[in-house]
Amino acid sequence: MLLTATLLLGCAPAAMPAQQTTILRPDAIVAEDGSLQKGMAVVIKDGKIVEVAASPKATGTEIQLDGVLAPGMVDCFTGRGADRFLTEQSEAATHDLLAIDGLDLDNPAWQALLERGVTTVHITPDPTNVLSGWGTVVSVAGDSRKARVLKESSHQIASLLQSSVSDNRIGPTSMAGAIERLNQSIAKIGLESLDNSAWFFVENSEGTSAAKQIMESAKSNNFRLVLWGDVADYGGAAAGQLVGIPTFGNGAVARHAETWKLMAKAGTSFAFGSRGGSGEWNSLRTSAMTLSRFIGNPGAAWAAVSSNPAKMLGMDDQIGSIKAGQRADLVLWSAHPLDASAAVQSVLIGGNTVYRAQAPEDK
Amino acid sequence: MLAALCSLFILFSSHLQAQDSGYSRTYVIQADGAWIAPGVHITPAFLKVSEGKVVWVSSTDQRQERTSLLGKKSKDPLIKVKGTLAPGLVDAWTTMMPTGYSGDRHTGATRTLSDSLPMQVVNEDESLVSQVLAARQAGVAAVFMSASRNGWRRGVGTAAEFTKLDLPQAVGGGVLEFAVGAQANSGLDRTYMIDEVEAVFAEASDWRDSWDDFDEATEEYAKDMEKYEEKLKEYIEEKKKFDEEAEKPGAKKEGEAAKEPKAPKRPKLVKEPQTSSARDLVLGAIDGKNMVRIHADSVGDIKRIISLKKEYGLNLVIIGGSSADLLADDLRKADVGVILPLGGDLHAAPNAERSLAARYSTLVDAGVDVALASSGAEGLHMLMLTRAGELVAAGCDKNKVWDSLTIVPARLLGLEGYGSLHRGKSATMVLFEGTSPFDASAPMKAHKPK
Repeated sequence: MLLTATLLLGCAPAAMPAQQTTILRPDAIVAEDGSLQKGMAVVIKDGKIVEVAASPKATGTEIQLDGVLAPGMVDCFTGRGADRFLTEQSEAATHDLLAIDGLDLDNPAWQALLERGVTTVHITPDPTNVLSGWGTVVSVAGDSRKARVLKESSHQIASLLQSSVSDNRIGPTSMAGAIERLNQSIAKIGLESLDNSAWFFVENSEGTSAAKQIMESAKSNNFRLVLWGDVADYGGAAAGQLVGIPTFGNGAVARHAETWKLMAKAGTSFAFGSRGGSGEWNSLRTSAMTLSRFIGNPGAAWAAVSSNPAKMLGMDDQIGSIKAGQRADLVLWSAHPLDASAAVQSVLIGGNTVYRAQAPEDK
Repeated sequence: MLAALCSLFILFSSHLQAQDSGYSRTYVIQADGAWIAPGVHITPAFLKVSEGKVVWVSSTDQRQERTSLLGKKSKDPLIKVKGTLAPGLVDAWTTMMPTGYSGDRHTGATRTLSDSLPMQVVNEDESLVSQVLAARQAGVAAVFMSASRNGWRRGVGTAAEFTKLDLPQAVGGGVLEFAVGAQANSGLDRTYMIDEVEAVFAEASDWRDSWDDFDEATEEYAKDMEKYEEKLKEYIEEKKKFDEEAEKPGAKKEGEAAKEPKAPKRPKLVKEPQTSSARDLVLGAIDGKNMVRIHADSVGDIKRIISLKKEYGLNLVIIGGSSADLLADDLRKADVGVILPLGGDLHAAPNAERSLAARYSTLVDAGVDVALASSGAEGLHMLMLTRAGELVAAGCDKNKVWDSLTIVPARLLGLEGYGSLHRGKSATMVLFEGTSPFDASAPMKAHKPK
């Protein structure tokens, strides 16, 4: 095992010429539905997956991998790796605030995330203001181990969080005020001030219905909801949709187990983000494991940290699953990534080995 | 009238149930396999359950055919399930509490949590039922309910199992809880300092010794009383004489007369040592009737707790124990178990040397009994297996970690009916379809006995 991992490291940036084709043969890959597929080869060229097949047509250097190959996890919304809170507290609507301006490409957070199998994060402004600004999508490792920006301005963040907007130093003093401010901003600067792929952070039925009304009037299907607060109060409003939810941390999560179950039954699919959720580095994975237990559907739980956040970001053609055309952001695990006893063996980003775990006995 | 009688009967019968878990059925489960006890795994598995307990477990069907009086042949019903059976988890540190219960805020508190547990009646405490259901869903079969939130203050907690009505039911005697070191003197949430805990035991021990002094003093008192009574007789005689002289006509005038005799002093009654319920509990701990649980983290405190155990022969366990690994050998020699919390943020500040995995391994390798507990309720139960699984990912032995969630906490809590699937143990189990209970890539269900 150690040998093959070393071999993989041997193919680190310099050792892997751009045009070279590499055929990875792990014990199994994690399919998009979360199941393990054995005997599949993953062909990588120019930092991308070019073919996934049992007997690929491509020829190239074959590498046997001891373990399970999974796509790198995607954090759907987070504040990690950015300067402080990413907010302009003197205004109620800061539609031109850019998360990328607060980005720290040398932040130690990138390495910590990498070591836990997270390869892409979406940094969002703090949802403190009604129009809070724009997110940015970052690959946690690029050239010379620094993070690399994949998408400068990804999605606009609109906040209908009563708990945030009720502070009168910041903005409106109530939900009604927040909705009014949002409508005013749209009227004043035009609907283009609200991007047609904006994400609404909501936390109750009032915010949800307001967001839905705006979605309706703008006739855009690209708006997304990120559910804050007690979902038991309004989770039904997200039936059949793909929504963002904060990672599970300590506290009374289990009391909402029934809500998650019912939402999953009603066709809601989830994408985990660590902003507003657990502060632990591995919270994406532990949350997916917990969701798997709650809803009894490991596939849906795995999607919540891989293909679903990619879909929310509109980047499911690039990240979140092992398919031809995707970035070769791959994590080799000792077992299925939703097995808590599995550990990260190595991580490839854009086809380059950027991390290799020490065997426990070497530590 | 009849209705009133009926309801009276229901009340009475439900009260009778108080010591009964309520499980009544007999059946056999056929599963792909079973993790029976440390290192004992079988495939396939047949497990007979009766009244909530394991009757037998075997890799072959041991059901006997019975013939009824009418000549009808039958066997116990067989339930076929997918997955591997394993004992339910024992969560040795929770914040589960009955509704409205709040721990005492002063250090001398003696409030006993088990006194506040509801009777086994449907709908009696819905919030508590929801906590039990959450624990059940996470695969937990038994818990320790602390009398003091977060273990900071003192009280008398209890180990508890879950009944058919999904309410906790106390098992074993009250457990004396102390917390030392952290948060000392922070307003109402005052915590003990270790010398105060020592003082509590010293006082109880001195008090017991004071009965010897009392006995001695009582003997002295009896002797003194004899002397006193003699003196009293003499006095009465003398006084009589004196009074007679005084009443004679032509008696000498005052001043010239003989001195009036003085009454002897009555010896003081010896006071019996005062009793207190708080001290009775401490004496119970010294006599081995009550277990002692001390929340302590620092090396200095843990050292002195080990001495305390030795001095009074306590049945003692340390919870928290963030520095316990530094005293692993001392803990093993003194036979003091440690309950480590899985609830803290394990990864916010990654530090390989002081990580939970490193501390856990050091203790386990030294032979200390280590339990891994949620240290909370609800969501934290659900995170127990994933967090414990991460210890395996970090290189800890998978079987040892599993033991730390089952048989070890059962032992540390005195829950003899839990922790394995041997005959007579609880049939509240988990059924996992993955490679182990830690594997969330496959379903896991909890089995609640029928």
